[in-house]
Amino acid sequence: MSTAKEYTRLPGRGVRREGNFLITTAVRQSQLWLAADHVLLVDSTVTSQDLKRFYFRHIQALQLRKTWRGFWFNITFSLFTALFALFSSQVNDPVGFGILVTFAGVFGLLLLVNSIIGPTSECFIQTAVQREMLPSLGRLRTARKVFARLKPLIEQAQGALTNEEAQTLLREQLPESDALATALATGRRPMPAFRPGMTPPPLVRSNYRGAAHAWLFGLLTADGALNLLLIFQHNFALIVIQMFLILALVVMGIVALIRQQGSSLPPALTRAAWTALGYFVVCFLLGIAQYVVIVVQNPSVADDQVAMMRHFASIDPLLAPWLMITYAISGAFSIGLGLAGVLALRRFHGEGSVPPSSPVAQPPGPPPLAAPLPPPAPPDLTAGPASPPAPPSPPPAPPPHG
Amino acid sequence: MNAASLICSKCRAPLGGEFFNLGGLRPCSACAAPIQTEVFPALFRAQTAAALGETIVTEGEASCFFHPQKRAVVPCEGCGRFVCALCDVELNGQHLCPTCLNLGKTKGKLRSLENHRVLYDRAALLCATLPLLIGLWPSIAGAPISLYLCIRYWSAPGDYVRPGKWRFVLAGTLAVMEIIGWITVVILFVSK
Repeated sequence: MSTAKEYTRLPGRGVRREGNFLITTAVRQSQLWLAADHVLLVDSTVTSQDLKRFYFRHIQALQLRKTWRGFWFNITFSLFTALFALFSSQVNDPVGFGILVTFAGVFGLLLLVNSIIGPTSECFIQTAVQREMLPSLGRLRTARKVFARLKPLIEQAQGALTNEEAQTLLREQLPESDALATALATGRRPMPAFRPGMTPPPLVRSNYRGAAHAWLFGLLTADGALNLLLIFQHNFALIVIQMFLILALVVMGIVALIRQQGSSLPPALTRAAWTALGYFVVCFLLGIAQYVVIVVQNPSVADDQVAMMRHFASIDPLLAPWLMITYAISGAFSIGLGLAGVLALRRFHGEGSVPPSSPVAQPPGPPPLAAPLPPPAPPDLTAGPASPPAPPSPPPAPPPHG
Repeated sequence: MNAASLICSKCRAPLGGEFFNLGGLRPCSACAAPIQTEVFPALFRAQTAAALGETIVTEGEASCFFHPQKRAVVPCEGCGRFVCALCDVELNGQHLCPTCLNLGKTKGKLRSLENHRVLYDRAALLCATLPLLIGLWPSIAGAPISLYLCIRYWSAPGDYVRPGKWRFVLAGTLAVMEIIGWITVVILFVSK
């Protein structure tokens, strides 16, 4: 079985993650390899390989979408670099300074690398029987390189199409499906037609109304107010309250993220929940940085959490600018995000649970055979047992004549 | 899948013909995500219906091995049996019967049908190297397992795209060295 030089590796290396956004069940390294008549997708674990072949003559489409993931990575790395640099400028201890500068340097390096390798993308390959994501083409530059290499090979196997030719061919296919024509005109996915005997498809949207989001944004606003209060009243009790508040926030954040999946919540609310999650991560990392600073400056409190919290409570934010800046920024951000979320939620509730643009519709089913019967009337307990209703009394007898 | 299946990967709205083969990014009409879509003639190709075997009408015609009442159209390139249009499976220019196709897949003779491979060479290398990284004690078990994998699966195919035996060689060498090391330690311990 001679396979030497049968495959050439295409640029790019990515990771295919399986599971949901909370739990990863499997991670596979994904690569693309080029052969004479097909492209091979190899998803590898440590001890196995899964292989998928896409023959040039069967490939229907290659799709590339530029994503904002790289941009958000850059924002996050910039933020951490700036924060750690700011902290390091406020610390006089040489060890603490060194640690914080190292953190700042690591995030700065990540920022540099992410900027150099360029914007991110998401790519798909489609054949008559499948549409497969290509995780190795996670960067726009790499994806373009690979597309430029694959396109001539596919065209050699099938022939080339210009935009006009593709539009003509699509128009020829369109009359086959009125639903598709409507969908292309409106930019919506066509709903499958319902036929008698067919199992109704599941609802596209859940009827979640945003209760968890209301809690999340309410708690965020409270957390912001508490942060601002801590600038002036920095004591042990308030710090303990804030700790529990943050715990509740994290729990509500996770619940909100789970509930918003498949719901009809507007994008503003779902993005606000994700932003809150990002904010928790930032707070967590800031907490670690503060912990490092305190431990470096006071090694005696490292083993006792209560002593550490008491020591932290004894710091006056008005005399420690780094703490005041942290409280001010996080307080303003929490209140801003919380109030924005509450307002968006109120607007959503004001508009009704279902925005007109969302495809919330019960699948068309057969009409009900008859109107539902009214519930039976409760028995009259004042009447005698099982006594039938009294017949209407006969009209009074006419008075006798004469 | 046909042209209707081409959707925006972000909002799942169908993409119209104005998105095809532009050679650059264009914002999706529904969500404004920048998309580039390259389509090829296979997207518009009509799906051909599966061929049904023709019934034998004249006596003496070759019949299908699996359907004696159907007319044979081609011999299987794996076993030589005559098969009808219904049983004929074309795979990369080869005409095969369902039995040969199944055998080829299960026994790994048809390389183009292989879709999963266990990499015993990597497993052996892992068993030999991981104990060295996490402390020497686990190599008491790791080294013999690695050596067993090297011997038992020496002829098993390795990496699909980068074939070679170097991982087996390295794993075996490391495993033997670890075993020799442990034997030496035991001998020294007993001699004291």
